[in-house]
Amino acid sequence: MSGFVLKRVGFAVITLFAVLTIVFFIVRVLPGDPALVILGDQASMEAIEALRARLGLDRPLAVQYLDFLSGVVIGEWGVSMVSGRPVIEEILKVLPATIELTVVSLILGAALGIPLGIWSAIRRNSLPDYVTRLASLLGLSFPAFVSAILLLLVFAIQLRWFPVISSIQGESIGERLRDLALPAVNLGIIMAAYITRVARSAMLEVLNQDYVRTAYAKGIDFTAVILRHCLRNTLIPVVTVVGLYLGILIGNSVLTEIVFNRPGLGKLIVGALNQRDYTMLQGMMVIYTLIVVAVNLITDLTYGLIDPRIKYR
Amino acid sequence: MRNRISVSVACAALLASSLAHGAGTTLNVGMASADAGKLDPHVATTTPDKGLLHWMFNGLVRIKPGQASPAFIEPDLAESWTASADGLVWTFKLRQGVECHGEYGALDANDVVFSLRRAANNETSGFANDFKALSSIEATGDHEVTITLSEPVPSLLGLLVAYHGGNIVCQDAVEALGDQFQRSPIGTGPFMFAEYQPQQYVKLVANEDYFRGAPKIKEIYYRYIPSDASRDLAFQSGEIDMIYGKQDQTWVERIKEIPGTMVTVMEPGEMSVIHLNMTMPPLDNKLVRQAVAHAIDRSAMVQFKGEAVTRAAVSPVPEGYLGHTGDVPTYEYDVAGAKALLAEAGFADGVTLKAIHTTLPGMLTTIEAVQALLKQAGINLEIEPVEHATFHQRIREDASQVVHYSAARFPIADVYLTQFYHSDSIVATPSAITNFSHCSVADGEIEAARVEPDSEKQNMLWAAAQRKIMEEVCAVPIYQNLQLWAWKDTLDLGFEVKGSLNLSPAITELASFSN
Repeated sequence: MSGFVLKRVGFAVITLFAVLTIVFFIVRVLPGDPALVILGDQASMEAIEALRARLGLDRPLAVQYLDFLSGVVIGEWGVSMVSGRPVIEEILKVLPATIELTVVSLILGAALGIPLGIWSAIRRNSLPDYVTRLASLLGLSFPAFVSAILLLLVFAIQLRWFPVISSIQGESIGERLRDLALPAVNLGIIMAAYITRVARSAMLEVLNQDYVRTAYAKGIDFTAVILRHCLRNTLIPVVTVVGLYLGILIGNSVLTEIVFNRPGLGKLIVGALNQRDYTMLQGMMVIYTLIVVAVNLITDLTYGLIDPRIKYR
Repeated sequence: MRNRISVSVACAALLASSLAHGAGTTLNVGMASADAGKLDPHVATTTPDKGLLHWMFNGLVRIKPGQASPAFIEPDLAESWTASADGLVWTFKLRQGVECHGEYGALDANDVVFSLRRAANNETSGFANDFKALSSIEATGDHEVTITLSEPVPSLLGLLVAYHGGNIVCQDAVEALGDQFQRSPIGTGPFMFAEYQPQQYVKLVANEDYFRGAPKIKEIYYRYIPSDASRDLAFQSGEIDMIYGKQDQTWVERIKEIPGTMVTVMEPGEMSVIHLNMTMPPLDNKLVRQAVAHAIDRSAMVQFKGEAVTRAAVSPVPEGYLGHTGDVPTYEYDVAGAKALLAEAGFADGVTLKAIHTTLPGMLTTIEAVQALLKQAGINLEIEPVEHATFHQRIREDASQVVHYSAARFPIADVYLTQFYHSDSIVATPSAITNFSHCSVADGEIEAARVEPDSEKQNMLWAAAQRKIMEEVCAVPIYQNLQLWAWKDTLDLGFEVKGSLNLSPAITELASFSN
């Protein structure tokens, strides 16, 4: 087990190195000059060149690259080129908001998706199945920013139950939940749609297995067959999808964050990209890579909990 | 059922508590930006950052709140001033009893000298260029500052208003805070920096010691709301009291529908101009440039963008700017005439022009409309849409035949003329700014006007420059977009708002809620 974890950490370091290298060069190959963005469009070419020199952007790429790598190793991520605030501080200030939103949406998605998927599989080709399938298809194909606006219109403007601006400053749990509710539902719907479809097809497969027929033949009660024999085996593909999707979700939360005015990584990276904030982009890539690697590792370890036959070597 | 009622009651209570927060002395402002940039007035260039700093700083002089034109300059930190006969030595008497925010003490001549020198230094300021002609800035008394110029400038007072480098910072604060200053700026204005929450808001509090009196508004939350739709919804739900608008007629119509809303259209205008690169064939042929000018129907463009928020532009200097003249050669909309000009130039079958263009929606719709108009005259405009930062870099590399640019500048003719039409500013040269057309026909007039002490003669030189530029068709001005804001009609700013140099309505000690 510990050997497995060590091996995975080794892979993670290599992945991180590769990602950082690619990001470093890609942001610099992109046209668009951070010095111009910072100084604004009235700046003279002389002033822009002077700022490029101050930011160290006039040095050879190789020197900048080595500087950057050593910075990452010793934990010096520099300051944002645009705001002048330390990169790590900027990221850590909004990271909890993104994690909170993602985890709550995931829980919502699973709580809704797994039972619906299973129910739909059991009632295959009946009305509940059709309705569930249609609903999950809608959930998947509905753009997040449209559903977000609809949620705001109904719950924040018409009913006035929730605020349009979801702050993350709420002091009591009630306030925090109130701020989190609409964004989490918005992301949770998409998550639920995915999970429903995967859970349904996994359940259908399990229902056709010999051991299920045997269980029925033994005269075991229907509910017990589903809960004791089928559910666990259904969960493996669900966990895979959740793991895969969690990484994507953290990145994809950007539209939800923007429409609901929640601080978060998504908003930070879009801003950094628009402004060609190299240091911020690099810092964010380190964080994203770490998150994806960590989620994958957790997913792999979860398989063992669900299915004891899976061994780690 | 009982449960549902209790949930509703709880929600209503929560809502009531959140609304109470917004009334009375707390002003919530919604700004179209994802986050704050550098909050140092000598570095900040973006509309959201300038708009916020506007409420925290003073200059030696200011433009009367509610106006944007340098014609309305009045005393601010300086009580009075005198200029030598040749206009090269200026002495400013400072107001006594002005306190810097926080614990940074009284403002004196040393602070002003420090601040202006800082603004004139390329290492610490983005506006050093504006202060090139200031050869010395000295404290000649505890409350007296003398500025000596190496040559006359079009408007020294214009440089000293609370805008860009003219904002006065407190020396002790800048030195004590170091890099922190750009995160917690210290000025002398009616409101003080209190708190920054990333991607959420900057909170300002009233400066109770403000020299014009304590502000009636006690707190301002400047909220960063990048999504246009959610900003509008937050205004509709009452979570924000004042909202930065989209430059779009439909926005005005929509936001007006919300009861108790006041919409304000403000100067200075942002002018949309089609710059024609006179070094790239076929645009090196003046007849072709004239054909382009005749093929664009300004009144159709104004209708397209909305008459309430746009006005047609005919001159290279926007209307409302000091030195603007409308008395320039104009090119009436005339498709047949445009075709005839093209034929005369030897392009009877039409021409194809290329424009590298930003994907910013507001600008893209304009160029697409222009494209459709040009098409009727046989001018095929090919648009290469690129992301905004890429656009800015590419056009500065002299890579685009046609450049559609939209900008507001300090409202003095010299600024627009120098940056867009003086040969020193031609793109892809060491002193480049934004002369995309390679225009150089009015260098003499622009330079002469810059140092002309007699304002009447100065205006005549500026007018001559504008006529020459239009005669040469270096560019085709299309329309001016005005600044749009809306706020609750219970908010009284204390004066009529016609303009704002910093692009946000002035919020001063006079602003208050009427309920």
